Amino acid sequence: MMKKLVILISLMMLIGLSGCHGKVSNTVFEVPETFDETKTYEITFWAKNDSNKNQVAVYKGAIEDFEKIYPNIRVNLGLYTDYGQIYNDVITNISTNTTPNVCITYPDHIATYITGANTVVTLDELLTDEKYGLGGSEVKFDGPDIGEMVPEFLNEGIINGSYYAIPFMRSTEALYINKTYVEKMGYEIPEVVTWDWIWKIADEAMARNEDGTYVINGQNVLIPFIYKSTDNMMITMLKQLDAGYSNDDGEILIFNDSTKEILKEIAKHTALGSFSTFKISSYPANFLNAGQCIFAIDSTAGATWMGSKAPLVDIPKDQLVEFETVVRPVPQYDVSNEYMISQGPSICIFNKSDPDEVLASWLFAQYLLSNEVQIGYGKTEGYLPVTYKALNSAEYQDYINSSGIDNDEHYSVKIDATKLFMDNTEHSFVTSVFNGSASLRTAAGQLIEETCKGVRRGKTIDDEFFDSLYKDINSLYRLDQVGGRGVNKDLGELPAASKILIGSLAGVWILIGAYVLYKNRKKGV
Amino acid sequence: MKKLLTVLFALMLVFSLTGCKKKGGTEPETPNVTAVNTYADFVAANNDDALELLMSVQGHQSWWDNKVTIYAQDDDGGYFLYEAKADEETAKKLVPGTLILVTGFKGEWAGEVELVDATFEIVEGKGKVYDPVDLSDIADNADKLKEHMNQKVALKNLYVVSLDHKDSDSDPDLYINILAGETAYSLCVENYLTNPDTEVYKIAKDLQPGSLIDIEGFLYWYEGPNPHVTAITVH
Repeated sequence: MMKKLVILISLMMLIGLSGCHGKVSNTVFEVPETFDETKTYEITFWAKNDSNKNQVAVYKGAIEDFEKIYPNIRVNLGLYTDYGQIYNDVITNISTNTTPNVCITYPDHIATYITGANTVVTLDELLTDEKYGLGGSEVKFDGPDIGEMVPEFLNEGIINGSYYAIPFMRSTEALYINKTYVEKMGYEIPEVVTWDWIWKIADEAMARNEDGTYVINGQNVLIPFIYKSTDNMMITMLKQLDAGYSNDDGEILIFNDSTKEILKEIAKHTALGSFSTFKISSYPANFLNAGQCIFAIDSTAGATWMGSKAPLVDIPKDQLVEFETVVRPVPQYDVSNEYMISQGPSICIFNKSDPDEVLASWLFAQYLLSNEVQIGYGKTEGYLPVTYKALNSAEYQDYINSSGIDNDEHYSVKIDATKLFMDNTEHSFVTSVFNGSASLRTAAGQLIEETCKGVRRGKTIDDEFFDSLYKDINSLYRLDQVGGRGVNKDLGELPAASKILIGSLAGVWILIGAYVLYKNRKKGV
Repeated sequence: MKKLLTVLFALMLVFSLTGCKKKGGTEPETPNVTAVNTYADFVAANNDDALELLMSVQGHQSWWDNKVTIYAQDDDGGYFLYEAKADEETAKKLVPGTLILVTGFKGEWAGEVELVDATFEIVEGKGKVYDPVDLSDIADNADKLKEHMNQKVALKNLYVVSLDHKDSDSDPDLYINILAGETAYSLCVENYLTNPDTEVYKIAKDLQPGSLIDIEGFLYWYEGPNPHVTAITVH
């Protein structure tokens, strides 16, 4: 009986502890004195592409070149087309200690990754290490030194006072305009457009012919203004109005009257049919290229899809309409005080038990900042390299100055979009990063999406609607539990795995107690 | 002591089995509920109109984050329920022929006419598993194909032009660019419906340009016909 009991207890403990498999707390990474090149390293790199085969080719080329320089490091590439998917997979792999070594990600996401102790390597020492830091004496390729990084972009990787990421590429949003239609309506396009200007023209464009077709395009379909990322739309509008969104302490400030006024304005134009979103209607580029949209706001990293001569097109060729495309900054409330969001991929490094493996990861991450990769990847879309070394190079300058010589690598809309960000870096901004900032970002967009849906579905858009919307979004994204607040609040029901674990542990203790009682009674104690 | 332990184990067993309770009874042949709307109402509705419809599940994509995307049909036409709300337990019960009562809104995304923000309940009663409707005769006519949007269809003698891979290891959709007569469009082997372990995916990834194929699938739409393929036969 006793043997059976012991086996049973052991089994239950094993089952009980199986939920924790692989969850090993990493030690703090310290830069090794010397990189051991007698050992071989196999590292994993999770990379994001914009469904753009040229970007995949740059990643593969970078790995091939890097492996020639460091033959003892093998890099395995994992491809993604969605930041959200990388985030989900990283979260899943943190619990089993199977994270990749190097990962393309957003700083918002890193803020969640670092809630696990020593999960992500802090780069403070690595960046400036004399031997292996940026431009270090032992680095075997011609990478940038720290003074050659664009400081605004580099500093976006600071979370809680430490560097947790280096920038890989930067982009902003651009307003892609069908100039042909705007001029047909009798308007000239200013260098910087205002929200009032864009709403006015979008509304006017809804005029119809007697047969029901739209005057401007003669078609049955027209959505004059489509915004791809409503997250960015709300964040940018609030920034331009100097209204609350969040602060560095992780306080949620978005549920304010300015937000309500923005939503009321959006609701008005949604009701007229002059505004819609990607989530509701589909890609702005597809409508723009079919002559069914006049103003499309999307990332500068989506520029190769914009315009009737775009190198990448997602609609049947017979639906393409000829028009001239111009690129402008996103609309502004105050043209003398412009704001546009800074976004784009960053790189983080995950901690491992072998410091040399981490150093190998860092060397590869650093290689992604070399001119070969920066310029190569920058050319694939309207991305801006993040180093002065690349930006000021003859090769890059030649590329930028060759706008429009072809509709492929030198596609004018793409290079105009890149220049737009180059010329406006000082007007770019980022939002505070904290654990929960990714949820807040999604919630910001959802406020717009739900307002648009509410209008389209015949709801009355009044204070009652907004009160209910604020409450629902706050609850859905648990915004009262993120950042510096709400840590003692009810976190809801425990997940099933946790319940099983706790149940198993309770069972083990009950059996141990029963066994002790049984043994003591037998001994007559 | 033995008695005590026996009672203890019995109790633990009872607790652990409470989640496994199964409903008894047999399913009625005909559904005991009716829906407010019909397929004709769905077709006639404007985008964003609210609808309640009764339909039989024909397939679904993998469940994630309390959402499941469903392909369904009734005697009159097909439906695509984009990210219908469902917990994992409910999603697991969805098999071809499961009868569901759906409330949602009509939507249109890149040409795909669908039901969005939908919720559903599984209804007792016998649903139907439909045979694919053979549209080979109109495979080259997008306007005519559109009338069968979302249905389970069969298309024969499609000429493979090329194969594109979505550059994502986590969501590795395959796109088969084909010619139906002179008309070009893409078929999608949708990873969330038929992942790389499935027979159809294995056949698709090895397709060669110039092959002639017959397919079955759900007639999804993305800026034109874009069937989500469930079976491929290479001539």
